[in-house]
Amino acid sequence: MGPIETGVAGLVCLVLAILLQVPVGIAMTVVGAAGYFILTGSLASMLSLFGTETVNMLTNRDFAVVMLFLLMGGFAGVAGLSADIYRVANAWIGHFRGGLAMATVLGCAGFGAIAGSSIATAATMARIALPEMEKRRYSLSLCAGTLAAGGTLGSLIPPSIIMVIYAVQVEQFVIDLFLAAIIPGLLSVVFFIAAIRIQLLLDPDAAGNEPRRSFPERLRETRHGIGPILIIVIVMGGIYSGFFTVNEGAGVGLVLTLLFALMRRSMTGATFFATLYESAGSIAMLYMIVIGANIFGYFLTLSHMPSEISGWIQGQGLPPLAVIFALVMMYIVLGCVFDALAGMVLTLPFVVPIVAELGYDLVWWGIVNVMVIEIGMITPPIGINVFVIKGLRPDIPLSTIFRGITPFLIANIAALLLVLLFPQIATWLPDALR
Amino acid sequence: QSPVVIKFASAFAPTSINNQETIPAFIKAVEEAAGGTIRIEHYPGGTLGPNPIAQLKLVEDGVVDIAEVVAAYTPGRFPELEIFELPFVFDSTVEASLTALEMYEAELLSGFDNLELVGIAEVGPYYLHTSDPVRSPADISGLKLRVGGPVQGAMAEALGAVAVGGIPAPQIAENISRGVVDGSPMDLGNVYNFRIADTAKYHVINVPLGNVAVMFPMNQAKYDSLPPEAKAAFDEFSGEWFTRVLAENLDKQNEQSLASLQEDPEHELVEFSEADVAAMEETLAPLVEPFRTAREGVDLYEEMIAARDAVRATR
Amino acid sequence: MAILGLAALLVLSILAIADIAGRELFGRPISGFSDATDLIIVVAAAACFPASLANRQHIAVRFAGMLHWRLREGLDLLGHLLMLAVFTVIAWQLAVYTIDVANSGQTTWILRVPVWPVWAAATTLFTICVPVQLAQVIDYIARFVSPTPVEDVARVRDPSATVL
Ligand code: NA
Ligand code: NA
Repeated sequence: MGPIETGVAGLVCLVLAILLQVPVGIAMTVVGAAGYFILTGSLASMLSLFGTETVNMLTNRDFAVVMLFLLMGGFAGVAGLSADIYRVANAWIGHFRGGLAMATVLGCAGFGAIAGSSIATAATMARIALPEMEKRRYSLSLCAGTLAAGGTLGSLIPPSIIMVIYAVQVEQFVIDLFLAAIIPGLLSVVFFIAAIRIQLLLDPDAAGNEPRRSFPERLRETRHGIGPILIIVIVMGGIYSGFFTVNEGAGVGLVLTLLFALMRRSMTGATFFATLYESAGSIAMLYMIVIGANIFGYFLTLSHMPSEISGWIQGQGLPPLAVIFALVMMYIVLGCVFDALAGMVLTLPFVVPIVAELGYDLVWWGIVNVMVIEIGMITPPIGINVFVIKGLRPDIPLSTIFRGITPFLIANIAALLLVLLFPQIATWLPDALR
Repeated sequence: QSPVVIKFASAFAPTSINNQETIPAFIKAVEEAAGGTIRIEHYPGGTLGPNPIAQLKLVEDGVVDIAEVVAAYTPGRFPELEIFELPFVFDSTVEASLTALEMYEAELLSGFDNLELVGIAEVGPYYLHTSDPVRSPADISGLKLRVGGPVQGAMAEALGAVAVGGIPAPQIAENISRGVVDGSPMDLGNVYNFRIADTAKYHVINVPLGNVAVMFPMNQAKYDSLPPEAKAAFDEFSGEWFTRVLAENLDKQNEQSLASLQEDPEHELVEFSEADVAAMEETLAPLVEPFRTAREGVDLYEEMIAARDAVRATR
Repeated sequence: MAILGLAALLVLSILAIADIAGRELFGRPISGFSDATDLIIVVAAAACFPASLANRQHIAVRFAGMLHWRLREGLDLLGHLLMLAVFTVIAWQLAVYTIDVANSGQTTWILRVPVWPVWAAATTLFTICVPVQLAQVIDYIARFVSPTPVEDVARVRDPSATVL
């Protein structure tokens, strides 16, 4: 068996192991190490990779920011900043037809500007917005669809943990990805709101009415927004304006969210420790995935498979946009049944050289990746955000949630198409600020 | 009989001058001389181990056989090499690199147990590049400068600047443009590679601030296992030949960068007055002292100057 | 463990603010602050692993397990055995690395603090992972051989705790 055949066999084994419930990071580590051993015959070198790659990740400053953003999101939830954003949005647009759903989308976007993950955003916002929408007789499918889809804004609007992982693996600046995501993120917000409006034109009974608030009442509610706005302005503003680095900004944000939680007395000893403990679980899991991907990377390189595949694709002389569309289609199909993040990390060694060779911007491709991953999180049969809502409210049937998601899925695909056809939507801002 | 395969890795970009010119030239020379007994596989761009800091460990563990190792990334591991970071000693990469090779062969450099040195480049000299105007030594005072190691840190502080550590070279430009630092010492050749020229427009080009070691160690066991014909070919081109080609190409890159900076009206090339340079030299002179006594019975600084003068005499 | 590690990270963040203030307002950052950062992030991240294993937080696609509960438990057991093996090798290799940096005298960039104590701490934390994971494996063996299905605890308990 030659190196390339071994590489193919390794990939098949990896997919099998993941389908057989082996945790993704562990599967990549074990199959990667075994494949490395088969190709080199050196047991000592193979074992050393476990040490080398663990050391590499533990010392990686860029990746360490994942810890800070995770804790920051956790503290922001405890501090009730998500509820604040929702209240403000509600005061201003709640009385429109479907206004509570739109306020939920804005709430997700606002919380997404503090937290780095989709699941945290979906779960946090669901606890706040779902009861309110139900009280106003919003249909369950609209509620669940809005929350599952709105939750994806947690990853698309910076800060974003997926973008940190991409930047570390592809050696791009995290800050460039964050800047590039701002306009696509806002575009998605607009498309989601449009999706709600169009849906309500087709099915006017899906949402009840909320009384219009008086102007003084609105101002009173807006005061609640000061906390989160302050944090977003200081942290993200500080990072984008160059007052401090991404890591420093995340540290500042962590301290600020903790202070808010303490000031509001919503932070008890128990919630403090619970937030740390639960974040620890996610942190270790993310580290393990990247350690595994890197060990698998040695095996892939030695199999010469990535270079053969990208060489073959370039040799076909296809138009660049066709290749890009084929890749995106592949990711969307993969995202239906596979863990989307693992899918991205695993395919980067194959895909990034192809995209770079076609002359596309790797920051732009990172944003495309995040958008595709977010689509994977809400497509059947396996959509993590959908399971989050289901986990909080087991009485809502999965079919109802997936039905509610359909309009948002269309909105997501429309936004993705625009970013694919007009890369400037993503690349303009980082280029302008460089 | 199938050839011995040697994995030659570099975590740096495939477009770097080392990966583009020098390493391929070395591979071609060795493979031709070895008459089919050796095949050297080149893995640039970090495809076999992306972390520049881990390269030494990868060689020691036999994951790769030869790698491009920046000595400053593992402080304390090659203690004597830090002496090349002293200012006002060398005026080119070739001179500093051959001096380092001489000292290695005289067994004045430690940390090479189980490693065979294939070649070494003492990249430099480093010059100061800043975004704020610097036209005299007084302007350096108060600037925030990125430093790549303890010697550069001491140098920055002696000149009244604020030393900021922990910024890897590829992120210098980003941090200058965001104002986290105001400038950095860097060799001229890498001013464009690291996009420092995009943000730093002032370049002090007559105050050499030391050289930094980039070396190519080989796994000793792998070297020892080479069949005689392969080893002979390898020995012919490792050491002086490879070091010289490495350093000459890097100096060529230095000259090209300098020419580009000179042509570009956006950039200001600054030369301090002779009196100012002399005063700086005096200010920085105490930095030498620790190296005189670091090793018992050896004045490493004197040894370096002697080796350098020997190199100068032959050129 | 995790709590201590992440609390250290919190202290680091507060120091970062002092460092930024010192740098931007007084032109005097905390000397060697970047060295401290480099050391603390290692321990903070390593400290998360034992808690994560005790927590059973990991991404796994639980597809095949929908067929039959004993198949599910058997596959989970397999996954956890592999995890035990991986963590054992990591702990061992980190010990080797610690001895290596101690012998070669590696230090931090600016303050020249020896780095081996940090790696000794990281090695200890990964070594703790081994018995923690062993306990999980024993639990999964019990679940696998149990005559009746044990309730599936590995489902997402509190989704806010997971990421992505
Ligand atoms: Na976010
Ligand atoms: Na999906």
